[in-house]
Amino acid sequence: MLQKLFRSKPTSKNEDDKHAQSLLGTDPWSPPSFDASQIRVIVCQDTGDKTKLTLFDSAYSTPNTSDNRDHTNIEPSSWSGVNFLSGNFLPKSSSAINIRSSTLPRIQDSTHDESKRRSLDSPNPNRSNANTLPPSNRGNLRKTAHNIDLIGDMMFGTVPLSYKGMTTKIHFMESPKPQILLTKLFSINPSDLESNPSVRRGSFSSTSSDTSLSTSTQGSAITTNGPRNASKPISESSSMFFDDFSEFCDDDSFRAVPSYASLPSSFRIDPSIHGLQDYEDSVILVWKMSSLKHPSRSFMYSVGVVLSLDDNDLLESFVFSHFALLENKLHQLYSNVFKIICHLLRKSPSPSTISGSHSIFNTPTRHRISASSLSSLVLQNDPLWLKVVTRFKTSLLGNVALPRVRAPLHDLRAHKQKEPLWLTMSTFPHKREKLAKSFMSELSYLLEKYDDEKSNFFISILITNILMYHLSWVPTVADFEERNGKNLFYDPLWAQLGDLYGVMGTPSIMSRTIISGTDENTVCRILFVLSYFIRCNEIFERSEDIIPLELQREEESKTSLNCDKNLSSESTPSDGNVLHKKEAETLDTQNKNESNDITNINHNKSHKRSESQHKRVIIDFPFTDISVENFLDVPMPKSQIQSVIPDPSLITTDKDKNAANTKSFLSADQLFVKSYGRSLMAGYCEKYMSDFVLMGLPKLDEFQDSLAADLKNSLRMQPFSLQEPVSKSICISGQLNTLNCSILGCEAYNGHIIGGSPPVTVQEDHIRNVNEYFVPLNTKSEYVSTMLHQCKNLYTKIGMPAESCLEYLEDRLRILYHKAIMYKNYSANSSTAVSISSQYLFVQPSKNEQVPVNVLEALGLHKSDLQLIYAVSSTL
Amino acid sequence: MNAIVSLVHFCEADGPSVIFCTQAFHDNAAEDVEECLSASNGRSSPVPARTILEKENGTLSNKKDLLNAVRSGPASCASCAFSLPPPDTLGDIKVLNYSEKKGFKTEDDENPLITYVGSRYPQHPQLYSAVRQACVRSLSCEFCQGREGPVLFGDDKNGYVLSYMFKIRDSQARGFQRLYSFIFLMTDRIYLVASWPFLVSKFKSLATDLQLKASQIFEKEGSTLSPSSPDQYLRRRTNQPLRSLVDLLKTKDLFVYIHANFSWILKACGRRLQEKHVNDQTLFPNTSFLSQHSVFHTPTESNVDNKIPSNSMKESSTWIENLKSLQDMLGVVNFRKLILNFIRGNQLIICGSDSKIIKSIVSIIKDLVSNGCSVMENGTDYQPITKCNILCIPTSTKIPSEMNFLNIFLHIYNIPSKDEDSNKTIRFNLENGIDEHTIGIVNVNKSYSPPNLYINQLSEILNLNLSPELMNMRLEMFKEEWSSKVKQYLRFIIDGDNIDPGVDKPVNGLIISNSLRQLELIRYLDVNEIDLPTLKFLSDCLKNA
Repeated sequence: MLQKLFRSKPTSKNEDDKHAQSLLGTDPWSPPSFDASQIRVIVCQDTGDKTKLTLFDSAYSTPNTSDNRDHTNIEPSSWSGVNFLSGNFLPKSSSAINIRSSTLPRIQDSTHDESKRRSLDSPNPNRSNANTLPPSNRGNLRKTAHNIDLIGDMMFGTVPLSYKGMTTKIHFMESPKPQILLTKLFSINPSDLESNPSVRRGSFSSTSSDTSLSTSTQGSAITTNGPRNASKPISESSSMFFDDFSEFCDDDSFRAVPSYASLPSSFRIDPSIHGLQDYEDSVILVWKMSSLKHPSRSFMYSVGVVLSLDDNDLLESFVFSHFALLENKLHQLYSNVFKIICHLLRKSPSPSTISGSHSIFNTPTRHRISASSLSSLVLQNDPLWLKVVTRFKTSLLGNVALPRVRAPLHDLRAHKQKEPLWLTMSTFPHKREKLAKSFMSELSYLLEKYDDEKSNFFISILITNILMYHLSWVPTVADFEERNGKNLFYDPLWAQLGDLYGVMGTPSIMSRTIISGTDENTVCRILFVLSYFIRCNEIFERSEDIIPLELQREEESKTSLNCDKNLSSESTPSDGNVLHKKEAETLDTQNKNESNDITNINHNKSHKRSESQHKRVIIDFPFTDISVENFLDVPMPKSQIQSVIPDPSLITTDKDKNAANTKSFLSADQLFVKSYGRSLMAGYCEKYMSDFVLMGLPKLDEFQDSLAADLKNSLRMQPFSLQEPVSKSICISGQLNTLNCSILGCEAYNGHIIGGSPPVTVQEDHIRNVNEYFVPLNTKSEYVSTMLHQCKNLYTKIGMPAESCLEYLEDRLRILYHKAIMYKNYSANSSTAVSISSQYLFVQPSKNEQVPVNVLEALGLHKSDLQLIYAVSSTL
Repeated sequence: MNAIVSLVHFCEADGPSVIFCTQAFHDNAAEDVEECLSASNGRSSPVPARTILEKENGTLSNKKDLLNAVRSGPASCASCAFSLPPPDTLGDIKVLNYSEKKGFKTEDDENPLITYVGSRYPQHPQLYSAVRQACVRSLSCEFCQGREGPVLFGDDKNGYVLSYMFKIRDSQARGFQRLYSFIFLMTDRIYLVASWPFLVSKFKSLATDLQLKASQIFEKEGSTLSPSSPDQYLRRRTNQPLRSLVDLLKTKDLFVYIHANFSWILKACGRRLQEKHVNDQTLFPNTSFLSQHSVFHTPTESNVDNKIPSNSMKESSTWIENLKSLQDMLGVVNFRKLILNFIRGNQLIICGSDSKIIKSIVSIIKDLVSNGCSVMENGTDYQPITKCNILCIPTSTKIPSEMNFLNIFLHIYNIPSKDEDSNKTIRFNLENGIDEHTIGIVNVNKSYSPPNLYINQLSEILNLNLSPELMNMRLEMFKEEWSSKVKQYLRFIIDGDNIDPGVDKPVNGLIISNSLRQLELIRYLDVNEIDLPTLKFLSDCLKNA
């Protein structure tokens, strides 16, 4: 009702629009330019002989035609078996790679090989012209058969390895254009194919009834060049995604796990795919059986992703800093391709398991496949696989290019910052005051409008649950030990990812939040406010260089120079940075001669240049100190920090931004390529995107299946702590239209599967059985609600400064934390132990569950606060 | 940083071989290796639980290499030799036992517990095997475009490796060049990948240094040596191995240079990404005052003595333990009166001779306001409230007669015990001060109905049946709650009329007077009007603290 009122006023609507724009709006979000054509997915088999077989290459499909259902343009004859196993005969069109002698490399030959190879590479799949091809070779296959030889070598190496576990590789290709190749290498043993899939994978049947593939999923989802367009709705039969990704095994477990899932045992092929029938037949006819000599050996397979960087430093940074996320996606590709290949390799002779005469797999006589041989490009039109690939590309594009949560700015000229509230406030002191005001006015607005009985106390319930699941606020109010340096194995990026997903408590729960509503403006306001409560630590990247020896000497004579400002020390990063800039400048003036530009960036740059000149002469490193032990003492080279990213003292201006496309300088909205802190909170998106911790959507219903698949997938994520694999993955859903909150969750449990082999690794065990659940949320914590309204009143009614109100909010959060500590101690000491099951976190306490009144009284809390307190105490 | 950097070489005679390694040792090196090899704990990126880097044959298909991969390794040919700089290059200092030196060590200038040690092989056999694997794999298995540049590979068993390949010109080598690689080995692939940009740029510049030097020498040699004919090449091959890197580059302390760079790379790589923990106290510096967390600091440990007497009258003969004991001794009514007077800013005068008891009472009461009030513990004469909030004087001290309800007197008398032990019984007497029911609205039935929140809440807490430890926590929380309100109140007072005018006023268009707003403020803070003096007193204490 409120919303109706809200909408009925056109003027206010306009203002709202304006406001929404300032919150999330349409001003240029400048992510690295990245589109689907820059992502290439390749699957290869190494048969162990000289040939490497391409099973799939997304560059073969036609990503830039939106209507590529018309697969008839792919002429089977153009790559028929006559050619493709003959290697050198037609290398360019051949998908089987002919590898040169796989003995130890001859160094002097490599350059030669290289140039030869390069000449074969087609520079760009999109630009390749059909003119150079014989007219009979219409279609896209030949055009796109570029540098696959090179990639094959990179993926498998030049000498086969006998290691059978999962191998990870990353290559950087300079030519023909900068590309990163990410590879997962794995093997499939005949034993992987032995067991009868139908016994094992009953659960798949539930989805196989609805695996009809809609027409647009044939790799065509990513048909556009821009990130915005990438989120165009794809009509997807999402039920398939759902189960498709649901049950996996993990990396290295394969060796020990005899059998994995087959494909859905039946396909209902879409009419459009039906159209491919002729083609399929001809493909099958030319399938060539080979290498039957070694039926018992296993074969290596690879799934690789080529990312074209197009000289985009930001994209490059993103790939390296977000590898954990990317890798999870790679694992999904791998899991699926593993299943599909197993299915292809396995005979499935029983006609009863195949429904429909259109199935590719319906003619057992034709597809009797030996373990060593698959047809070239056999996955090229596999609808399931195409869907997996599409999904992979979409989610990757989304990760890079989606607009993120940003602060509302009253000053329209300053529409540049798009960052999570807490992180921005904590990193950039000069932004605090302004952001505190924005936060308080947004919070007040939301509480006024959506936090009374009529609106189901929507905001209070939402924030209660945010605090309950996104627990990383806890360390921010606690006396907290610095984690840096305490543990040799500490990985700040990894910790940050865990923080964002709220993986703090026990059991380990991964949480994300989606706010859905057609009222974009309000959704954005909510997202903005929530980005204050979903917290993580900043990660600073030091860009450090050895000071050339000559300069070191000069410096030493002048002043004792402390080059390394440790960020964890007392000095604030900004102090440190200022210092370093000074140092850089001092050094610069010594080297001078470089044009003295206005900006620090140029200072740094010029300094670097002069330094590298120096470096070349200091090979004759002098030797000073001698040890009495068996090792000679060598002094640690002195170094200096060139820059710190993000630079807390930085006030971004437009001018800076334009001049700033260097690695050492990133404007605020480019910082997201550096760590997870700014990359996992999306703004208002047209459609669901994977992996985001926070996101706004018009409607969640239609994406629920994709979300559920993601939740399941996240259970496969490597554990954030060794002791505790992620056991639950949940999504808090706030639906603005109905003013309801709920939790969608997945829970892994270790059940026993009849007929299954015992789990071998924790990981795999952990993933076997997944419960899904849905819990409506209708309890607000009195404590949280009071806290919020008090803040609002202090701000709006009394006119207290916004920062003061936030101070109060933080005080209340800290007290909450202390109450949790006391609760934990109370439960530990109390003889009448408070029994709250772990389920308590997700479901309302059952009627007969005794709420421990004593505890509440002792803590000064309301019954409704108990779940929250319990969650917080689980972090202790 | 748990990683090893090494320089490896594809030798014409021996194939892939390790030349030099630098690794970090921490003060407890043995444990580190164990940790590194087994699982990590805490929040590192995932490393599988099973032991990695375990030695297993058959990992590589190249059988010859496997045979070589034994601890000692083959006696290296000159081509793959690592050598210390000759003693005469070491300056004036005399080198003792030069022949026993195995390598280099470098102290970490930021962390004294870390030492970087450079030698031909890692000392630990498992690490040796891992480095050896990485060497063979990067030089003869992995393919890298142009054999120059970075490649990352690895698995959970053998660890993850970033290998930066490069070629060095050598007029005597086959094809006039030799293949080397810098390899960086660690188990945390997420961290390794994140370090890619850093490592690649450092390796690249290091490689460029070496290449440049080699090229210069190559140019020189090119003029003196005739082009290497196949014949010449074969002759050389049979007779002597290629020169060592030191000779090739004509740099005697080459490995010093390499080790120094490796050490620095290890150090800088480990510190490149720094997590900055920000808590709300950094964010809002004002937040920290008055917040005492001592009780909460170590929630699992119990620092509180459990032998707290339940009946303090009897056993508190020496001192009074805590608020609850004080309440027990004074009785609820007196206790409330005492606290109420104090917390409303009245002066507390304690008269007595037992300094231990007095001290303990002072510390208990003072603790309510976190050192913000002034105390005169050994007063002899009367001092007005402007001088101190709590005054301790001997019973003999003369008190001005005009004392009234702005002061409250606590007289403490010791009565000798009848028992033979030296225990004393203590009697108290309260004098002056205000009574609860004289402030606020006096209720008909004389209950404590004028809800003086502070004292009511305190009483409620003290009535809880909690262990001393929990009671302590609860009281801390109580104080924290009040201090948070007080902070707002103080800010309100300080800001005075200058409170942000841009914010909506409560009533349309009406300008609200400050005193009215003050009432409203305390209402939003869940404080009753009757507590206003308490807020004032506490905020004064806060200012002084």
